[in-house]
Amino acid sequence: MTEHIAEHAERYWRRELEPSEMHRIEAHMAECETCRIEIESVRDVVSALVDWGNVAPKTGRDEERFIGPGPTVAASPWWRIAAVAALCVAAAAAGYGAGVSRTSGSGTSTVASTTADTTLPVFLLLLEEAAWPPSQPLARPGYREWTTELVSARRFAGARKLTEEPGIRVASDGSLVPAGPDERVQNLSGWYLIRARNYEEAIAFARRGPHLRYGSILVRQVE
Amino acid sequence: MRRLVQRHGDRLHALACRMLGDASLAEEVVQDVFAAMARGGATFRRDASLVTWLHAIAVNRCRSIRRRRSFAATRDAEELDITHADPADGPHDHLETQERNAKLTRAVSGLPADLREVIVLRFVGGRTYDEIAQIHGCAPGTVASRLHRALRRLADELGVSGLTRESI
Repeated sequence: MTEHIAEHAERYWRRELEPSEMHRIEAHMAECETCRIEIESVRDVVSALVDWGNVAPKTGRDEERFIGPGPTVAASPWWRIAAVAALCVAAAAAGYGAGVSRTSGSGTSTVASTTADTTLPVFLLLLEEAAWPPSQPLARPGYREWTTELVSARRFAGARKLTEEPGIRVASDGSLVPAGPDERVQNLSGWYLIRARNYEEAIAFARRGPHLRYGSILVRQVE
Repeated sequence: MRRLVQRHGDRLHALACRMLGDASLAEEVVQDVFAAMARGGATFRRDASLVTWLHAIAVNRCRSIRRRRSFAATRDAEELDITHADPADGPHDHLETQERNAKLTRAVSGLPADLREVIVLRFVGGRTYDEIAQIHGCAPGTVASRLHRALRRLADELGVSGLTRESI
């Protein structure tokens, strides 16, 4: 009985069972500690897998990598072109007319088409800090809205926050120079990669973000 | 025909990526799927869902590739985890999501093949238990059992590595 009930756990957490079945499981969990633990043990991983399954893996020709040139012309994945060509030829020859039956799936949605415009050059925005250690925590307001704007404009290509320790600089002679709080060179709190038509557009996006309240932004085009 | 490719190509590609951990090979798989469909359309059993049939071809193709190649389960797996920024996230939330997905990818890649396939078909392919049972040639109850075993293994592994919500 324990095994059988527990095997409903995934559909239970995703609310895909009939109400009567949901109630039956909940009633059993109220009475059986073993089953309750077994079912609850997978709750978080089910939730995480739902999110994970919605992530569109990078294609082999994805240009959002940090290193590597972007294309100058937007192109459909080559398999689409080949697949459509194959289907068209077959359809003409065989009069194939199978319809597509829509199955009831897990309710997961496809990833929205908000990928960056890969026809545009990539720019690196280094977020510099006026003071180090930072006078305010790096988890600051405003970045969410800035990222939203970049995503909506199909310009967002990545972002990472750096740790709040200053890091270490390797000098040209190989020696290590701690980047301490009195370092005159600007320290960094993170970086953004964006797509932009040119420096002017990249700078415009940099100005619209929140970071200039805390420091400066070095804008560099990625080759 | 173009609609079929547009409607199902991305999901099949994502499924193959998760099964193989290699985006380039996944592209080949998707091409093979639609080419096989074009060749074998006459053999399509109309009692089976077309989508299920496409997924079955993709799974078999992935298995063939795995058999032929010396496959490092986690090779390139983490590189597949680029997360389209959730507008509700700031860059720091975005980072946490990417790290969580990378941990999941590693963990799923380390599952035995039969458990990994069930996970990928369910959470990436969006297939029902009945559809997965058709693809695997087993009973829906067997699918439920495999899925639960996979989830327990993932929960046990990721609980140790600190993925669970309480620790995020």
